[in-house]
Amino acid sequence: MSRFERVKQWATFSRTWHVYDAKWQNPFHSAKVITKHLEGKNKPIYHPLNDCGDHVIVINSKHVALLGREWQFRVYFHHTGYPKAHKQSGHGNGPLWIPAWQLHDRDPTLIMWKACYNNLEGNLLRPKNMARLHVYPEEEVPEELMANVTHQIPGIRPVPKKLDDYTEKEREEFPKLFDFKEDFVHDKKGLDEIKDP
Amino acid sequence: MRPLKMAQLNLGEFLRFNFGASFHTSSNRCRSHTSRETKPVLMELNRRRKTIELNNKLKEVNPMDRRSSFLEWNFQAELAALNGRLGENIPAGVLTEVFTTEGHIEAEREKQEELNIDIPLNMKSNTELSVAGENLISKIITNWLRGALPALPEEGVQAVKTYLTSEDILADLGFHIGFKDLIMAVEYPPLKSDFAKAFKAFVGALERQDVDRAESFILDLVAVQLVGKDINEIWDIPLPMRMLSKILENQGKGEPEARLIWQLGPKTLLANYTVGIYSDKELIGEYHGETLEIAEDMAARDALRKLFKTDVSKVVLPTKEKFANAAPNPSAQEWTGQNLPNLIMG
Repeated sequence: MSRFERVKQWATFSRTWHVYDAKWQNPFHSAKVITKHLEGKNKPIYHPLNDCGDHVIVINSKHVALLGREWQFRVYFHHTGYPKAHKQSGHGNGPLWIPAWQLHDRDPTLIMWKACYNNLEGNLLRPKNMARLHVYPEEEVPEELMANVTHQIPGIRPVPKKLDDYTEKEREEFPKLFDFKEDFVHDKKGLDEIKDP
Repeated sequence: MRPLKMAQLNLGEFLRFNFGASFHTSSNRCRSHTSRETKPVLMELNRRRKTIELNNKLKEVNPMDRRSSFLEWNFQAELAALNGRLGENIPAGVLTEVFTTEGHIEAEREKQEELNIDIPLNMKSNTELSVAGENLISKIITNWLRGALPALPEEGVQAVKTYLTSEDILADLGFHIGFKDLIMAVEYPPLKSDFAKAFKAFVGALERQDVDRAESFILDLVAVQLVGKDINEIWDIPLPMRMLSKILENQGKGEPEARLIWQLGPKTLLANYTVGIYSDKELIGEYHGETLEIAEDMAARDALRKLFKTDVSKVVLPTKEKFANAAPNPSAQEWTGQNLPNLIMG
């Protein structure tokens, strides 16, 4: 192999580090895109035995958004290892079905992690692919990892802009249809001021 | 007497020996019948063959008999066949000289001494012809390389010429023309050096007959070996950045500046960096590497191969043109890349 060919081979099989912002994104839809990158299916050299998967760093997994009533009703199964009808040990025994909001409280990275884990096929490649997924609850990521990142996977859905995200100037400049009277009572605080000036 | 050859038996050969009644009973059937007993017999025979071969190897008895020792060997017919194969017409006497090695002459002399015979040997070894052939090959290939690769510096031309006229290549050529059974040497099969020498001697013999045909022969066989090969593999430039600086200086262009263009996973083991070489703010070469140093080195090599026009996909070799009396290409120290012929090759 000549020098050029050796280096070309190295470049072809290199691993890219991607970053994905999970803020306000649906974790289960995001998992479909993230797992594609973890397996290496975004590359023309893909083969299951090729070990060509990329790294994905997921940030803001704490601010992930679930559909409708999923926070209440999506449950995650966990068996404690103890039999269920063991009165002395209390309620948290045997098979447990934990709603998503509780799991999220315990570990805010788990929902995203499990979404990717369950999206991958349950074969011998899964642990290796999952090892290349790095989930962080907020935007703080170790510097050594962030230094490797060279690409951002775009979010699945556009993040809507809240009222707080608009600047004062933009709010003032926005065309108004009507405005309240000066003495209009907006909230209880205003009412208290009128009662006791 | 033709010695018994313990060749590896295959099923077809085995059945021909008519072992067992199964052959006769299946004569009405169109499908050949292989009985259950065949396989273990074959296994046993092969096992015995291997022990004999190992025994011969350890005792240094060469069981591989040369083709020329078999009953029906007709040397003159073989030489005529060689002439026919290559479309030449070299007389048999000259060809015998081509295929006679010095070792063979010495062996004959020793045999005569042992038997106390004193017949003068009329054999001439192929040394003289091989020297003539080697000179011609060297001259033709050098001229051809200078004409075919006008942008390549003289150091590159010499490196490629050394490769094309190396013993490995010429021995391979000699083997594939069919010299293996024609060469009269002590060892069988003949050594690489014997093959290479016989090839050169053959060229020398051709030269005696017809120089033009000899030159065409060299181009058709030796020069063609370069097709599809990467010249950068053959000619390894020791310090590419230094050479590049010198060449840009000669051309009156700015100093080469290496810049990092892309990088992948810099803090990992599988890091990949892409470096570009700029001269006067223009990109002249870019390539990747495992480390920054390797990437810079490779980018310099890329810039050089673009200048010398040795990118593999772009090299088109005119294998029919002889480029007689080509002047030496400029050396890398004086290379400017000007006055290059506009070769449009078919």
